[in-house]
Amino acid sequence: MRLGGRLRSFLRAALFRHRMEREMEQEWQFHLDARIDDLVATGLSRADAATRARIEFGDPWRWKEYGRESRGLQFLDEMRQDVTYATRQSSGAPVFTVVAVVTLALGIGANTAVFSVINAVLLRPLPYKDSDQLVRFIENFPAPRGTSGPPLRVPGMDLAELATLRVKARTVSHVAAFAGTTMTLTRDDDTIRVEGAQVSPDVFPMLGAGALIGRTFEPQEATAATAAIVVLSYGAWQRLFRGDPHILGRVLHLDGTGRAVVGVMPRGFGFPDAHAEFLVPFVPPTLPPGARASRPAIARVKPGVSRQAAAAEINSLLIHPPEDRQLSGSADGARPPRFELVGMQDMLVGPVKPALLVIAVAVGFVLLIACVNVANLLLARMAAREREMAVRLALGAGRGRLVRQVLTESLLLALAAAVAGTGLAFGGVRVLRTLGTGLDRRDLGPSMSLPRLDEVSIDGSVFVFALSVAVLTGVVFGLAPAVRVSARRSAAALRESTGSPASGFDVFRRVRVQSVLIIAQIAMALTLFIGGGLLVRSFAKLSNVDPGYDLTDVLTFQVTFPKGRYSAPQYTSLAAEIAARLQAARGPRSAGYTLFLPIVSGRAGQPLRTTREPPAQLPPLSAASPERPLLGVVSRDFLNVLGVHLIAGRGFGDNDREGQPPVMLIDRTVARSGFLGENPIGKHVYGFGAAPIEVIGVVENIRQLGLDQEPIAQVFVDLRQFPPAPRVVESSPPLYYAVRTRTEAHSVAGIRSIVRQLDPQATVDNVATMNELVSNSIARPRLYAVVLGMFAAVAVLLAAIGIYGVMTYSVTRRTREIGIRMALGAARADVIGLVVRQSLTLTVIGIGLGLIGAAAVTRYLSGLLFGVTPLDPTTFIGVAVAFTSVATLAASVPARRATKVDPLVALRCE
Amino acid sequence: MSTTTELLQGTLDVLILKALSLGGLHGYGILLRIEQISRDKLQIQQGSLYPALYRLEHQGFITSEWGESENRRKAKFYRLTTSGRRQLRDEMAYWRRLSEAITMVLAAAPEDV
Repeated sequence: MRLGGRLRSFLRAALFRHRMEREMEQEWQFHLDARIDDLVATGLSRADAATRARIEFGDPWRWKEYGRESRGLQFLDEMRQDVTYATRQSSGAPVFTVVAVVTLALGIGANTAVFSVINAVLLRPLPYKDSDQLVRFIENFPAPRGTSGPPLRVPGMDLAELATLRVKARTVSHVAAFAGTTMTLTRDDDTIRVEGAQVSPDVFPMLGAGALIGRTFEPQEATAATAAIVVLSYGAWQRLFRGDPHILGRVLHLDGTGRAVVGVMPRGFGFPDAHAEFLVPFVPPTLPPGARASRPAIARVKPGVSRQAAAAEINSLLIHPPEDRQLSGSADGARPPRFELVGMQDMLVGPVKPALLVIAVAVGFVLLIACVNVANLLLARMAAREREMAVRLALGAGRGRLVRQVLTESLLLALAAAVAGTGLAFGGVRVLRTLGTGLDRRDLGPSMSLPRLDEVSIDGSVFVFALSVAVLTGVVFGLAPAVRVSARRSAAALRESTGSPASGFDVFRRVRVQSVLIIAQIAMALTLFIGGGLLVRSFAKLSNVDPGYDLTDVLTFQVTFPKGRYSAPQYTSLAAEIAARLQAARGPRSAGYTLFLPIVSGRAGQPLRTTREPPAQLPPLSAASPERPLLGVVSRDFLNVLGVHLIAGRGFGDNDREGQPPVMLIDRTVARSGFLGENPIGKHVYGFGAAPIEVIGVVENIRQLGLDQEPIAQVFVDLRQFPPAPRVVESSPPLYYAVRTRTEAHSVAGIRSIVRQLDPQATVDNVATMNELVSNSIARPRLYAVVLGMFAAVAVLLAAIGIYGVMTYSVTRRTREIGIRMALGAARADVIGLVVRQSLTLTVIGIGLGLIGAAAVTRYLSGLLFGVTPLDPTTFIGVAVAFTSVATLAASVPARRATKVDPLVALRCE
Repeated sequence: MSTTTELLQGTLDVLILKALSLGGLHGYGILLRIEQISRDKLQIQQGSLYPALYRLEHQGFITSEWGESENRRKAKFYRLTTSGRRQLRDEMAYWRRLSEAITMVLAAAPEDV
């Protein structure tokens, strides 16, 4: 209260200064006039009275000064002086100012950009009420039998158990199941695929989210009889229905079911993810007796209850897992709990958190390096201004005042850099958003792009961050010069700056602070260089991996038929007909299809045997092996279109149709395993279906799951011979088509019309070239490599500038010494050697420390590396060599300049 | 020995507060009132009154507004605020204790020491 009043008074004084001073004068004039009147009344003449009154009043200037001080204005005056002086100083040395501001702007800009990402992704809570109470369930499954690996962590919970929790659990207030789903929206003029989700009605009260218009789901609407309703996202309402205010009650045809729109969610609501635009009630499936169905599940932990307590209660309520899911104790005897609770936000951002933290640390290093650079520049300048400071001290300036002056200068530089840096951050955020954005499709899973990237922006908290960083850096790099100023004895400084003969020789003492700073800087830059180098090398290895299929000129897309419209034979013949028409349009064997496209979809292994009887012991579940390879169901030409090489035997032919003896292609891994003998071609295997299947050929291994995943044993069969089960056809599984094409832009419309001719309500979506899919799958490693590579480059550049600056300063300081040496007959090479040796000493110490530091920290990168160990010798040695050459180059410029010293001038100088 | 007394450092503030506690005044009036109630025993350098006034105003103990003096001149009038009244009470208590203590020390007879 009182403080506020003072602040107001201070501000009034600061802002209305002139009015204030005028008022003071008026007030005093009244005082003098009144006094004169009183004195005249005692008998003095007016002139005498006036003189007397003035004497009694005293010196008005003094009172004015005091008056200002009592309003806290003196500080302001001095600050204004400091700022004016600092501005004059900076504009008097434009090169120094530009270098310092640009250096700091790089550091502050990079930090601001990274902070805005970290703020949006990691720090800002999810946009739900008390979102830290929201948890997802992870179920720990026992490791595959016969192996001793860690348990498999699967998000989700059995629906019957979820129902138990809903009734019995006391530590959680809501539990709900949900499932992301893609639906077909049929409208009057077209049919499109839309993303949506089935959600329990409980989800809305749990998230504290209400509808923008209309309503959400009522608790009783989770049954099939009442579930013919849908809630739209704000985005879908705007994009697909142009924000129609009469949308409520309209019936939409989703997957062939009429659903009435009951509500629209507000902007920003995106559950379970930003893709979900059509929310329908989650209706538990009717299961045959004994069957189980697990779904992703979410709960809200009650306020004041810890996650551990909630997890303990839930595990104690659900202690009876089915026989085959009993968790065995691990080697150290600790048995993992069956369910874990993971925060909803952790679940979302967990996969990128380590990488973002690495980036944050790296960018902090960049800023430190920038600070060291500017501190060194300032120190060099301070040395040049020693005389000025000494004179000011001698004239009676307080030490505190000088320190303040120096800090004002550095703060001013930092603030200028903050402005420039924020500008850079806008660009940086755009780069990060571009790098982090992946293909926008649900079928690729959530793992490809950076989560919550759409929330990244430069907002108020980012500005506050930039400003705080600027002030902090201003103090940090201004501190060294300020300390030096305050430590100087004025007499010594005045004498020294005239140059005593000895002053040139003890170089390391003179630039001791600078030397320590430059060594620290080199060490940090080298560490960053190695980190960036490792990631770039790792990414180069990753992108050079041969996936086993062609990336160029292959366009892929997904075709979905209306649900429940076709029988299994109709489905397969329709699939083949589309391929036939595509081939008719663009050449024989140029189009194929499959249920599982590489990169996009994985699938479970299929046990194979060489005898009709199953072996006593089947191989362990879920680990793909030659005895349990992945099963690819493909069309006749699919492998051909994808460019998968046939190594031996033959591919699928026209005769391998339904009703003919079943045939199979195996990959190199299966062929080499010996499981099918020396020559597998012509062998018969048993696996699915009653009949033996003949192996007709061997194809090259392909990386089905991703470039960073070793090829998994696979076999391929023809869809005509192995159509999906009628139950699967009922749900109309989407088919992935691949066509050879050089002009994708033209083809999409043509493809769509071919498909629509066969069924006007079939949809074509998820169009992408194979190249895009693969490139998208390595988007994260690319982001990390580019970002850290960029930081490393900036760090090395800054370190080089730093070395250059310090050596230049040192050469200037040693001009006299060098002159004497040259006068005594030192050759050009000697002088260059002198300077370069000095810089090399610093560099080698710095590199040594940097290598040790890097060896200590690169293990935190191991999760981000592919095909490179954290202590990769090539990177370590290569970086050290490269850095040494950069450092020598940076030192050679001032060294060359040193040889231009004219001994006569040098000896006379100062 | 002079009949007037130089002001102790920091005492001007409390004198101003006291003078204003009897009613609002302009600067010159405050000066006259202090001289009057001290029966001219305290000498104040007249101009020094003003920095003190601004300080007190800055601290929120007094407020000011422009008005008209008894002989129709434009003058700035000062008035005590609530927190100023409290401050005066505190200061007075302090002075009383201090002067009692000092009087006691100075009045002490040699045998008391």
